[in-house]
Amino acid sequence: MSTVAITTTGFRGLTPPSVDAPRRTPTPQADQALLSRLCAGEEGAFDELVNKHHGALIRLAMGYVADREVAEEVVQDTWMAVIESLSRFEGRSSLRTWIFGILIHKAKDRGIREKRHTTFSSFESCEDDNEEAVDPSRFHQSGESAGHWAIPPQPWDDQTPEKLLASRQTINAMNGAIESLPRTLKEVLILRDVEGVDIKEACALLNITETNLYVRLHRARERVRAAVEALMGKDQILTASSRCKKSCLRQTQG
Amino acid sequence: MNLSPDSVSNGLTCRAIAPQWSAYLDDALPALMKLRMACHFSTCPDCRRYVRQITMVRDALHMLTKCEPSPVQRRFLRERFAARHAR
Repeated sequence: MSTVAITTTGFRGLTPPSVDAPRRTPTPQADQALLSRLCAGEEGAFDELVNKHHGALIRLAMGYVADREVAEEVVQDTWMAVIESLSRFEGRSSLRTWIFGILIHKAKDRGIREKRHTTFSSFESCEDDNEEAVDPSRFHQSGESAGHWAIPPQPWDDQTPEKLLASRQTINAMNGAIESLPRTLKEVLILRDVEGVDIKEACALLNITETNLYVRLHRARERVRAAVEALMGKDQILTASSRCKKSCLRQTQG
Repeated sequence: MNLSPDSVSNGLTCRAIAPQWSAYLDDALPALMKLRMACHFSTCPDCRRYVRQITMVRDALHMLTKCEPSPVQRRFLRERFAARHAR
């Protein structure tokens, strides 16, 4: 049986590889530099800001309102509020967090107004807090192996993020999975993984605890992972089926 | 002191720890739990694969192409920004 040495710094060699997310939170210095350019009226700085956050703002807004068109309006209102209040920004949070805070406030307001006038609730978020992140049927239910993988993750981890994103189908599968997330999962995934917002800032923005944030974040990541897995599984079946067809054809021709 | 990873992660199942890998990856778990999960990770190839895939999804999400405003929207916002600063 293999053994591991416990040292004062913990277990050696047991940390999962490449676990650290790249640092995406802008440094206070970078934020300050951008803010100075914005306050000086530099249009290029404003373009930079819009390019950086517009997409995530749209996705986030779509969690609160019924359709893309309304989400676009909410985001435009957000940018207008940013333009008007930039001179009053006090730097108590990062510029990004401040902008996302404005968006969430406006999108919630708009969502509430829409619901008053809508008889159906097609865009209502329903998330069962007791739902398991990973489909329970993928684990052994009884016996010695109870709780361990019965249907383990299908192998596609020879990929890299870059390879994954080189495939249009994979991008569509990931986007589709994100769009179909309930709002509570979508907002956490967009803030944390798409935008790279710091955990404490994300908790403050969404008014949730760190524990709650991680529960939601993992559920959201798992749904995107499952969508990629389903696609890869289909590809593997198609590849196997085409190999089989070619082999049958060779046999017939031979 | 030498201990087997199995003895440290004793009692943990793949199902029980699956929802906690995101917190683990951010180093947001209590030290003992982190240690037990690390030990389980070292002995469970299926969980290693699962964590690699979750990590890959996390990194790919940040690289997804972001949608940009339309040229009309962009011009509108630029003009409003310029007008605000001309005041």
